[in-house]
Amino acid sequence: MERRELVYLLKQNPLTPLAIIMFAVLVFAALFGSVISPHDPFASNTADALQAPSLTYWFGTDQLGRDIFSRVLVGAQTDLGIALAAVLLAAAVGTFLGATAGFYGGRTDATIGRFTDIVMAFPLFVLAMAIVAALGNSVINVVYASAIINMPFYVRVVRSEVAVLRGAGFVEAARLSGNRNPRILWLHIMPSVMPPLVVQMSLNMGWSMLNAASLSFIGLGIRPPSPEWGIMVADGAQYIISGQWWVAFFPGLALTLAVLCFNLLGDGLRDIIDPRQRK
Amino acid sequence: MTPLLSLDAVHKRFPLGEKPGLLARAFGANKPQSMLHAVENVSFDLHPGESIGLVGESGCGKSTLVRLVTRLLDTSEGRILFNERHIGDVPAHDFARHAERARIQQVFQDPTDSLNPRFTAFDCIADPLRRLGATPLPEAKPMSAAAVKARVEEAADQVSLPRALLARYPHQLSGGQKLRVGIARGIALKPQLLILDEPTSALDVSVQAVILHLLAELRRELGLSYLFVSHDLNVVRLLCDRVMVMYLGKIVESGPVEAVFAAPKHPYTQALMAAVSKFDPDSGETRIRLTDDPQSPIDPDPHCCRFYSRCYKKQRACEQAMPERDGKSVHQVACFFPNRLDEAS
Amino acid sequence: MNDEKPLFEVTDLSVKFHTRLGEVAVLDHIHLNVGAGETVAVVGESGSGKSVMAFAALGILDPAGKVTSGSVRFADHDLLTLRKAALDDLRGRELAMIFQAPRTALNPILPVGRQIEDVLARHSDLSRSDRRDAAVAQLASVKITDPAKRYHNFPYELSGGMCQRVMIAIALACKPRLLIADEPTTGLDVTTQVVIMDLIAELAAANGMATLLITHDLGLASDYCARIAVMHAGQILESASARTLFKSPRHPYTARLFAATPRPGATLESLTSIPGQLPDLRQPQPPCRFSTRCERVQPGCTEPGLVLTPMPTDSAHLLACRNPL
Repeated sequence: MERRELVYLLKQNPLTPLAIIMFAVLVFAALFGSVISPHDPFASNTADALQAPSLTYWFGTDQLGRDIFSRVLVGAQTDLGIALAAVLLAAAVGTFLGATAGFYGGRTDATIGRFTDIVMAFPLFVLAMAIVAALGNSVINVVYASAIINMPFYVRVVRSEVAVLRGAGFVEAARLSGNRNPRILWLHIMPSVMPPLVVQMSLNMGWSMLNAASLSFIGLGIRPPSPEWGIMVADGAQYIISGQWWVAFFPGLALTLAVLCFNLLGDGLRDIIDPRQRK
Repeated sequence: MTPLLSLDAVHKRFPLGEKPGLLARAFGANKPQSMLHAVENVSFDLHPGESIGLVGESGCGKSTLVRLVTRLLDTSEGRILFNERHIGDVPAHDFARHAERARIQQVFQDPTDSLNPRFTAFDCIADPLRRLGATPLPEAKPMSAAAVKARVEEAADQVSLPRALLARYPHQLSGGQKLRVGIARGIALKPQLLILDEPTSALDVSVQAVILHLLAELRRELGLSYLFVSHDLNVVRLLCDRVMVMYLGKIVESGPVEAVFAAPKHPYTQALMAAVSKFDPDSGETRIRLTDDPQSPIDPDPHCCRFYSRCYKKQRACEQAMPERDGKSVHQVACFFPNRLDEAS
Repeated sequence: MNDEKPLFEVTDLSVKFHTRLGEVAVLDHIHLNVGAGETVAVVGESGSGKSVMAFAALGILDPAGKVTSGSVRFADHDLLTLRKAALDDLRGRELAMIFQAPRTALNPILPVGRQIEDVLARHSDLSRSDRRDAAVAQLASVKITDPAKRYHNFPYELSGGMCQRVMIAIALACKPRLLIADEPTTGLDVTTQVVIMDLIAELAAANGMATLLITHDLGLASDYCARIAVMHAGQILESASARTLFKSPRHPYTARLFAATPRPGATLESLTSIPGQLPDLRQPQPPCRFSTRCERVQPGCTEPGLVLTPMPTDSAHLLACRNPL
């Protein structure tokens, strides 16, 4: 893509640079949060419990006197990590199923379609609780639950793209060149499916972070005292009424901004790498 | 001379809708499945070095016929011989590795659609060589990367595509350049038969002329045989020795280009000719117009001429038996009244 | 007729598009007129701006496009400054347009007869039952057999040629004075193409309607239009009666276009292509945008002030060339 084209697109959608900056901050916090945090996120100091935001404690302290800013910073890694793992897993499985369904069509397509319909009918919390009940309350099981819930989106996106591309002239040309089905699907068709797939993953990241935080909010997966935004919001919820709003507010804000960041980023990416879907 | 390609009474029928399931049949759903007759009783020979034009309207079955010849589809009936080998018996699915796969290649209609947007021009042309390219018999080993590169560049030269463009992606090329990439891919394996499916229909006239010259030259220099599918009769006339006119799955007229163009015999061919612009505001036009819609290709009446509904000289006989081309003469027509005067209205 | 003002007149029309790759000067000072009842063709290759001209004239230009100069007059109305409500009223009643790809231009979820009625409801004061009869009559007028039955058909149930007939029926429902037909038969079979063109010509003659045909097909233009304007890269280079243009084209581009088109009687040897490509309109252009491809180019071609002017010998033959054939 030419440079002026990129400049034009960024001008058209000024929120995209903002999203990129937010994304950079988020990734930075996830990678180096524990190094740069001003306080130890685990160190409790009951003398300083429930302090309002100040120059010492930027986001205030919680009921155990832990620095909320440090905990928010370090918590980024956990939430981003769970979301990323869930998205990658969902995308991998969803792409395989979607590509197979879209390419071979017929009965294969119908079977995979019905399967994803069933998955989509499951509420996230019920599924997560079922998995946790069966396999134990661990982070990886929460990742599985989140991945299963997100998978149908990838099946649908990839299926529809592949089903359209299957009839393209270049696929017929590939057959005449001596390619057989698997090679045609994975080497000829899939490269064209990547842009919408990446956009979908970006949009899905925000949703997936929200899922991770929601599950820990109800006590699944991550457990205290790990710094994690969902738990922090849950912990802080009881103090909102008594006036210590910052305990729940800042992790909640971090979560909101992260979700917003990924949604904006997804829209921006769609404009840049997949112009067909531009509004 | 033995023909390069020979089709003998080839049929292709597509079943419509779902087959009634076990349960449905148990409850008496025994209605035979409806069939779409896409290609019906098509026979012709294509000789080495010959160029045959295939003309007909959309939905007449010419694309299906092409896919039967390129072996992407299986026939319902009939034989396809290529180099005297029965390639029609090889299932389409297995033909990708058949020895004749490399000998039958195609240039596709839409140069944009037929090039993979994620492949460079080089990779587009190299793909058939990597899959099917082989050193000469008896070794017949896959081509080395260097050999592939050499052949791609040679093919690019043959179609006058500057080598510098080989590194580009299709969207960085003009329509004419994309078509050259498509032609280079078609000839990369040095095929004997090249199928040209409306190759210039997506191009502007200013580019079309140079491509037509290129195709004529390639045929002469490489000794290729062409099956040239087109709706543009003026283009067919320039590039083909013989022409076949297809209507609703059947070849209704065939013969040398000059003969058919000078005196079309089938009423459908006549209507086609009448639809071609004379490029002369003063020409007295022969106004043969097809008014009604064509008949349905689904379960057609086997005892009625396919063109009956639109024919301006239909008679009782035409709905009592299906006219067929006689296999002997040079200029063949599937019509009972080819010589009746054209009382065009 | 020469004393009167033409029915439709495009004067000095320029359009620019803002795209992700910069500003593109799509139309460059276009002049074109269509008299009452006249059939005029605008012929050009893809990218010549011929469709943009029609869209700009009808006020349906893509939002990325801006008219930077000129005016479009239809009867007594200036279409570029007309208020939207007035323009909407004019379009469909006095000014109609049909497009390529008729199936996509029709509403897929309404029976075709209803779509004709909608136009009548908008632009006439017929009662409901009268509208229905008028719609059936309209379907009959475009030679659709069994119109009362076809009235209830949805677009997907009809062939491409049938859909285009319905489009024509809709366009002509209010007996417009001008029909703009943008590639009306592209994508249709040749045999259907002539039937549709016959139909348009016949109805135009019967209603005294003027037709502006926009096409890439010189043959179609010559068969159906009295006058032809040749367009290249956003400029009209030559305009003359079809007969004059075919017998003695004066602009090098027109001549090359004829030489590049396979015609009955032409041989492969006589067929020549046009060198070069359409100029990149994002770059500043010389006064004659064909000059970079033209073999008759001379130093004077780069001087500004090139306009479409009548030939001294034939005032109906307009030419924009400094070194004509």
